Amino acid sequence: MGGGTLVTERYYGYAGKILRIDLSNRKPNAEDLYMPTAYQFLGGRGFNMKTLYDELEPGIAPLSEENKYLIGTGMFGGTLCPMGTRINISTKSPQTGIVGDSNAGAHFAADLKFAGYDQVIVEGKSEEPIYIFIDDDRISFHDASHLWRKSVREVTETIRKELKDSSIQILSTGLAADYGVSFAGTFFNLTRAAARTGTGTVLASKKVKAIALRGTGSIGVYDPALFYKLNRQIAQLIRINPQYELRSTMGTTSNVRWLNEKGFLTVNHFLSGYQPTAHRWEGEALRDHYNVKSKACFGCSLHCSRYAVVKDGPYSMHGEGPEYEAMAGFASRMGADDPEFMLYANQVCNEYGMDEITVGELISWLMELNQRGIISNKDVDGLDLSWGNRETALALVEKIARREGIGDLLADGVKKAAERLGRGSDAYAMEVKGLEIINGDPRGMVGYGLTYAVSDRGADHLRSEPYFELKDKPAIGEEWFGIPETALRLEHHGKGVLVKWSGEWCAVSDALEVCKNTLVCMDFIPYVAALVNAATGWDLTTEELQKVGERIVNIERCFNIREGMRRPDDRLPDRFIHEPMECEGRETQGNVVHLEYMLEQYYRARGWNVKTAIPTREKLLELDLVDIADDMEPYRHDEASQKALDAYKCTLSNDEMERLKEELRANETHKARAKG
Amino acid sequence: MPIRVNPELCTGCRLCEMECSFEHEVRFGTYLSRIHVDKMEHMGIDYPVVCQMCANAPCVTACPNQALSKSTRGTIVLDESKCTTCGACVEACPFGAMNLHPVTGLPISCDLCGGDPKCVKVCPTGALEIVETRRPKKERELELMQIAQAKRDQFAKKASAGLLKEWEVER
Repeated sequence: MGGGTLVTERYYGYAGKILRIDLSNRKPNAEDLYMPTAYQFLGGRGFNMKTLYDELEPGIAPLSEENKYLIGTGMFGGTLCPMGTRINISTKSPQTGIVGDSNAGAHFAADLKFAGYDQVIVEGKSEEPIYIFIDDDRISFHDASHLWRKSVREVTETIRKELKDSSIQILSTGLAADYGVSFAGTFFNLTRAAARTGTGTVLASKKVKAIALRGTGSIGVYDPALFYKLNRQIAQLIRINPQYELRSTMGTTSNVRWLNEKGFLTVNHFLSGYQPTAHRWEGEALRDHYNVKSKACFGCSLHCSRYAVVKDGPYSMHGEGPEYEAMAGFASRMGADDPEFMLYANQVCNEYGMDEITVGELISWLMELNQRGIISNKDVDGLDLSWGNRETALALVEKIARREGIGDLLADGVKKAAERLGRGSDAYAMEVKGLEIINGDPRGMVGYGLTYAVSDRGADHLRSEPYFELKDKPAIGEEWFGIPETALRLEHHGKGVLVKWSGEWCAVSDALEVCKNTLVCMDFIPYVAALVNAATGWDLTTEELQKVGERIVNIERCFNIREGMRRPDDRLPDRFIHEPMECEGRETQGNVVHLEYMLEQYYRARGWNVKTAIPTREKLLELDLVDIADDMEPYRHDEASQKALDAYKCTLSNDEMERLKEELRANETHKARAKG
Repeated sequence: MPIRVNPELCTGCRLCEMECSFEHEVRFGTYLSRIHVDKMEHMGIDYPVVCQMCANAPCVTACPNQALSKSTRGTIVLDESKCTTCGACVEACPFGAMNLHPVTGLPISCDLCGGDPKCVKVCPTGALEIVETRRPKKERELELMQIAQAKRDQFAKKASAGLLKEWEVER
């Protein structure tokens, strides 16, 4: 028989094993997947969050050997389910000290399941730099001292040569991780990244430079004929979806033009929402002048990524990407508009292995501080911090990646940089819970503002992507939630309800490892339960699936509660709440985020304590998290909670409070009617 | 007629591999697939590699036990009773399109799904195509085609003589 791991048929959809690699004694151990956990948490981010909560003691240091590095895959991974083979990397974040988690596309998850594993848990610490080779059921450890402080590209190419197989999947970190940059990401084969929250930093702290992978086994599903048919139908629905054209030709890069037209593109570090020259670097410009072909993650028929070439000049490059976030960070956010520089800088960041949202924030933050006279070029090794200075930006990337000069101050993210710098610079740090805000100004889409505030990995849109509010059709808001304003991005009404709902479906997406661009943004929710059941042989309903999503959101919140997070941490930078949007003549002009209204509604919709933001005992019991309900008891009256209780002051008027409760009731009535 | 590849359209998604694996094995696995997307990330190239159905197939020639032969459609056919799984065919194939099945150890390559290749149908961008290959006609072949056509005319005319008469009567 061949070298493949034969999969036990009782695990339909799943590979059936959890691989635990203890680096301290180099003993890998494959455990059987525990089916009740699969049923309660589905997989991917669900498995990872359950493991993080169960196995990490509260208060451990993220870079200590007690931290763990988790790789999670979903039940559709490695099948022909379009967009169903994503991957979650989770850990306790060295950047934020709370839940660290990042999701990526790539091909690693498929091959990991072919090798026979649904999840990998890397724990302990190696003394010497190594890379791990998972070759089906053979796990080996290889010296990586020659790869230390090398780029993602060098590591990937060298390991493939050493193992004599260019089709081997490589998970690696760049040199930034080895220099201890707190926001170093995990990279897959050069082109895909689970970049946020510093997962790469944790892997490097364990002295693991890379994980190489070959899987020669296979995955079966419970009802192959039905599973096949459903996937073909979904592929067809993607093809005829109105978003197909834009996403398949430009992906998220098409956001630039739209956000700029509406006036909430991130320009000059959120000081403005409109850039007159954005047409130079928008998605259409890349499509017409630089993109040579489309690229896709495993099994995806939407192919939203592009391979780009800059033929000559100082920024000549060829490589994959960027998507919208990386683009805007090296363009409008720092006041630049050069597409070639943007493509090049994206490439450099990927090779060094850093989160580009964080890097974009650090550069633009310094530039705003310079404009305000808080710092000068003397504070930043003599660099010229005028808006849009490309050489400065590249110099900062180099310095940050190697912790040189000013880079050392910046290399732990903007929150810690502001603490170190002082001078009131924290007022301009665009972060929540220590994670930098993306390139979408919440004053132009207020539901996203709520998402940034409540996300359990820190400021982030993907935790509960409320794409629904961009629909701009009140009738659909009424139809889905019983609240017309949920479908209007400048309205605050009903957003607590919306963000709860979308947060749960984003968690389901991440647990199934299905792409949110389709499941959430293309309205595929009604098809998911049937697909899950065809893959596994279960009998889940859409409501039960959503409950899994709610369970995941709650277990993450409880993890953070143990780390001391309370309601005051669910916040937004003052700019979005107090400074009216600047974009003359556009509809977003003068807008601010009324966060408190949305938050008060959100906690009530969630069944969490409004003052502390701790899930109530009733809610946890309802979600079958009995042990966690007991765990939470001591935290309800501890010092952090007492502080939150003392700080709590509701400034909403009686009318506002009545209105938000009325919306909650309208939604409940609507749900009951939909059920009946 | 092998499957034709347009590499500039291939996104590297590997749906063809999954479709192939499912069609032949009712399971999903790269090594169960008869088509393999060669991904060279550092160059941005994705190239689906599949049996080229060579005229003088090196795999057939290399087999020490004559277990491989070519079908009329051009695909490589295996006689399992003769195969010793020695792998000579894998070594001989210039394209890496011949592989050993991870479970049975027997060589596998593209069989065109019996004439209706599923990978072509699933490809979202048209990077895979099935095309009819035409070869130049020999003079004798052309002559025979003309003869056959003349004979069809002759036969059809004779057979429909009654119909012509009927029409004349009707008008």
